[in-house]
Amino acid sequence: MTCKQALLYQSGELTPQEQEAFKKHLATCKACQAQIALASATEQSLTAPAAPAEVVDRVLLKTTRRPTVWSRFRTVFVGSVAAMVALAVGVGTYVRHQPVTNAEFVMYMSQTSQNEYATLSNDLDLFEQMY
Amino acid sequence: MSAHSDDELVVLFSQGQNDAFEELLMRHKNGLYQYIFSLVKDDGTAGDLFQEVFLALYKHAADFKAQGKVKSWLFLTARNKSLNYLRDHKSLTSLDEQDEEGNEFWHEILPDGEISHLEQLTQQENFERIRQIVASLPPRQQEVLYLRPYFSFKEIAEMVGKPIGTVLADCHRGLEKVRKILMEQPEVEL
Ligand SMILES: [Zn+2]
Repeated sequence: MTCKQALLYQSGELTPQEQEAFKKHLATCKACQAQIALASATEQSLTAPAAPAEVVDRVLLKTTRRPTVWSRFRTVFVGSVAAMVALAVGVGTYVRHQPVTNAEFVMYMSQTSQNEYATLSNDLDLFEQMY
Repeated sequence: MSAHSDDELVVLFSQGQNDAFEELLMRHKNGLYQYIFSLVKDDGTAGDLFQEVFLALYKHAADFKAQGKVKSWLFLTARNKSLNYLRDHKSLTSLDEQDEEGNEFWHEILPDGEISHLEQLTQQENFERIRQIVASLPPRQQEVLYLRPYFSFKEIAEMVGKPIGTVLADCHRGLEKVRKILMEQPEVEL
C-alpha cells in the first residue's frame, strides 16, 4: 500500500509518521522515485509559461493604471488649443493680405470653434465607450 | 510588497494601496492564466476571463473576507467563469466524463531503463513535450495537474467538489499517461 502514498508524500499531505515511513520506502523503491520525479517535472513544466504580457497590461489599464478622465481630456484639450492657435495665426496672416470685416471674422471663428467643440465631444464620447 | 501575505495585500489594497493589487496580480497571473487556458483552450477567451477575474477582485476587494482564501477565490472564480463559458458554447461535456482505465501502480510495470529516463526529466527541453502531452489528456486529469502546483490534493478536492480519492486517481492516471507517451516516443523532436 505504501506506493499509493507517493503523490501525497510529494504534496506534503502525509502525517509526520506516514512521512517518516514513506521516506524509508522511497529510499528502496525505484517506481516511487520515478513517479515523484515525473510529478515534479510535470509541475515545473505546467508552471513555467508566463501569462501573456498583453493580457496583464490590459488588466492594469482597467484597474490601477487606468488613464484618468483629466489625462485623457488634457490630450484632447491641448490638441484643440493648438489647433485654435494655428487657426488664429492663419487667419491673422490672411487678414493682413486681404482685409475682412469684423463680422466675417467673428462668423468664421465661431464656426470653426463649433467644429472643434464637436470633435472634442466626439472624443469624450469615444473615451466613455472605451472605459 | 512581496513580503506580505495575500490576505495582507487585499487589506492594503482596500485601503487604497494600488501596488498591493499589482503584487497580487503579479503573484498569481501565470498560474491563473495557464489554468484558465487549460480549460477553455483559446487565447482570446482565456485573456478575457483572466481579466474578468482580476476586475472582480479589484471591484470587490473592500468587502472581501480573505482569511487565507485569496488564491482559492481567484482559481474558483476562474473555474466558474470558464465552466460558464464552456456551457454557453456547448462544449461542457468533459469535466464529468468518466475515465475507466485501470489504476495500476508503477512498481508492477516499470522496467529499470525507464526509471533512469524518468529521473532525467527536469531538463527544459522536456517541459514543452510534457505540456503538449498534458494538453491531450482527459479534461479532469488536466485540471488536477494544472491545480496541483498551487493547491494540495485536499484543497483541490474541495474546489472541484470530488472526493480526494477521485482527485488522486485522476492525477495518477494523468501522470501515468504522460509517462507512457514519454517512454513510447522518447526521442521525438518537436
Ligand atoms: Zn513505492
